[in-house]
Amino acid sequence: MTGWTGKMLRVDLTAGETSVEELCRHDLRDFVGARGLGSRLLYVAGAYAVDPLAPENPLIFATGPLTGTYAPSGGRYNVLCRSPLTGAIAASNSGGYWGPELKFAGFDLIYVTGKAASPVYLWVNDGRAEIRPADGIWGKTVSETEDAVRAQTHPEAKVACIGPAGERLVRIACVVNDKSRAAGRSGVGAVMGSKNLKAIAVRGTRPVRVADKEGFKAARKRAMEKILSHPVTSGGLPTYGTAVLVNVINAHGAFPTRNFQTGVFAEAERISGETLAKEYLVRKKACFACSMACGRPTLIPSGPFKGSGEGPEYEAAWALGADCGVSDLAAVTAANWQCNEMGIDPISYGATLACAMELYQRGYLTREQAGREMRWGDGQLLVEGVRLTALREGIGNLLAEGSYRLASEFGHPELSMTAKKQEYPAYEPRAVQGIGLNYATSNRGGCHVRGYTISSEVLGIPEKLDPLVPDNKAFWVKAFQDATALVDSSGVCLFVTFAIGAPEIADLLAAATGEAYTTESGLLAGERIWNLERMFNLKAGFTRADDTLAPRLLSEPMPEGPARGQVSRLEVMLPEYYRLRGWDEEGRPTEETLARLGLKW
Amino acid sequence: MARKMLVVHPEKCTACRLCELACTFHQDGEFHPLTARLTVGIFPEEHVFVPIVCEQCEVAACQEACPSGAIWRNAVTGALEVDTSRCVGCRMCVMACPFGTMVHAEAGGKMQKCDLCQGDPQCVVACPWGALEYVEPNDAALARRREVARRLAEVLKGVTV
Amino acid sequence: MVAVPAVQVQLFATLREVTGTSRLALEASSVREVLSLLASQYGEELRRRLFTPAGQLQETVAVLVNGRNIRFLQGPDTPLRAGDTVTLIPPVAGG
Repeated sequence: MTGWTGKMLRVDLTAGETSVEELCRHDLRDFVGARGLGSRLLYVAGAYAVDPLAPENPLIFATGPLTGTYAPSGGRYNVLCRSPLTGAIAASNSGGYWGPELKFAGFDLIYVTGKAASPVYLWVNDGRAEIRPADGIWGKTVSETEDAVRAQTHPEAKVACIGPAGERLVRIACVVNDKSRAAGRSGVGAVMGSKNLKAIAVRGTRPVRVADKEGFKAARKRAMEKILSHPVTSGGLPTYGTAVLVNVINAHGAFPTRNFQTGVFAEAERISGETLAKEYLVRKKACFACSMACGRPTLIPSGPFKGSGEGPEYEAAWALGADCGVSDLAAVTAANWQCNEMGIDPISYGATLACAMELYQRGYLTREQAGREMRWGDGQLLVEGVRLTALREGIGNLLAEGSYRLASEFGHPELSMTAKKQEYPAYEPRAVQGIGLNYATSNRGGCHVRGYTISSEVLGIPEKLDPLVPDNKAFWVKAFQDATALVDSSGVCLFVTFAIGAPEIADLLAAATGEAYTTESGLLAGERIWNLERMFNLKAGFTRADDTLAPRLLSEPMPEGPARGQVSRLEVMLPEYYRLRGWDEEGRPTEETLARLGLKW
Repeated sequence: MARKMLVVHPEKCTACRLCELACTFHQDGEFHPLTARLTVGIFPEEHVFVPIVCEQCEVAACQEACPSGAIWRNAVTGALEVDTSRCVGCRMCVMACPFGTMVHAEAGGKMQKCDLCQGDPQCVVACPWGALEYVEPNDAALARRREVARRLAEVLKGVTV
Repeated sequence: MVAVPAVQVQLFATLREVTGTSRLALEASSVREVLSLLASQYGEELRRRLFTPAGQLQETVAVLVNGRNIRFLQGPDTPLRAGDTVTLIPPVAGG
């Protein structure tokens, strides 16, 4: 096969066995790879019915057909399972070098089930695999784990692992590869921990091939010309990284502050991309095969948070900054490094801490219960809290459950800023209408990268849509969601879509795989994947009632700024969205829709 | 006119490894970092990334070590190339090369190395940041001296004699 | 005589590098006036980033008045009142 390797590594940790299986060509073609293919396998396995932290929950590490090639930013992989945070489908996307290495080792994906009797790591070396004891490694931080596993395997091995958070089944734990790239969301790290699987080391020395070399070269050239000439992908992202959005989103009054109590953070400048570039940025860094280099190696030369690492990205700068009212960039940066080391999703961590701070502000969480003060803007608490959460110590044991369970524990679930129990990212649905519909309908719960309408509603790419108006947003949310499902499944980074779209992705897929992908069939595959994820969630028990937002966003008018007086108009957008999707009034795909997409219950 | 050479600017490298991919796709028609004729050394803790390329040495250890006389110099590009009809795959060149840029082909068991893509190095084309350049050595050296001078000038601006 | 409104101008990202400032005060009664004052004050480099060769505002540059994109107001003719904030955003993105 070309593009795909056509092989999957099956690992049964209970039995301590590994085997190599062929993947079905029809599945590959129809679900493309990575997120789509992994979702297909989860659905077929009936993972919607398992306890997320039970041995039966499959944990899938999946690449796409463009992973490992020089397709623009073609270095992505997804980690999939049923989420212990949401109970919905989880598909978390990561860059770095690990995904391509898996392709070079001869596999499209690794499918892990069961639970090892004691901690282990998996060593995948060129088509072979071995389950090894992780006795001396369990308990270590991410960078320590990576170094230790590499020392025991091969100096060139790439490592994906969990930190102490995943080991302790923290529901917001992530899987980290290459020390600072993370499959961040939905608690996939806790599922890895529940299997007693500390790390997967991969070494691959094989080639990745494409079906049509000249065609691939030409398709890549066309795509790169757009990426290298677009001011965002060739200028904005490499120069300032994603954190350049801090000031931009704040200027729009869409920068959620103090647990979404407002959309304006007066001190945004202090945690902005511009300030980061001036104060702590060392240089720019890319993931595999990426020309955009948005990675931010950072260094704090002195003071209480002295050190070095990577990030924060925009989302982390927001969650650890504005959402917790913290304006000390050194504290935000150090907390981000701690999240990398402990293996915690900085979005959900920051948002959960913010929720705790609001509970404290309103007197629902007392100093006695928290064991300390929980004041807005406390940078020391922000940094220390990461470790407490990872180790489930003190207040950390409650933060480890995510904001929904935390807020429910104290009787105020309405203060959890979540959809399907997953924390929202860094855009206010009252100030940007379409993104609210996307949060409410995202198959993995609160999330911006399922349908990044910010691109059109704020940045004007490709369309220029008024953020305050709900009209026609259902159409755009669907369009973004379907295209994104295709992009995520192909193995390239979503950020290329600031410059290219489905036509370029389809050309690359066709030349790589030899399958006749077109713009239409590619987008149809995206829609198929979206609907399959939806079916997973419906079978997991989700209903229309779960396609909603926190009451605050629906009923409390934005108190200040450009979106003052606005609420989310979800009630207008959602029915239109269902109709455009070909779903019934309960949000279930109709038989006609399923037939059109080639899906069956 | 002196022959051009590959010049590396590690400070511009972002560790994306597109050079490795473009190299093997051009040379072998597949994406295969292991057999790329150049490699990016990545040191994440220090935030340092250094592409290592074949220097096409004037006095070349690979050529001297080759017992079958398989390594010859292309008079047009100046690149040292492997004559696969003479290469016996003994890998003496691997041991001799101080930069580690000799590559053992998995198919056929012969040696491979950077041939500067016959004068149009694809690694240079692929690099988004100009971390690899294909220039005449004296131009490269001159540019480097100018760069050092510029930095010195910055320092001197603040000095009153 | 009507006084020309005093407004605040906010600049982000590369526009800061070109102008060497992140914030300044101007007197202008429309967005168009703000843009031309800036272009004359900071020269060709800024003019090139804000305007097409034909003198139109660049598609990729976002201009906000009090946080609202002028696309959804009256474009460059959007009038200004004393105390308004005009924000200029070069092409950037993130996620």
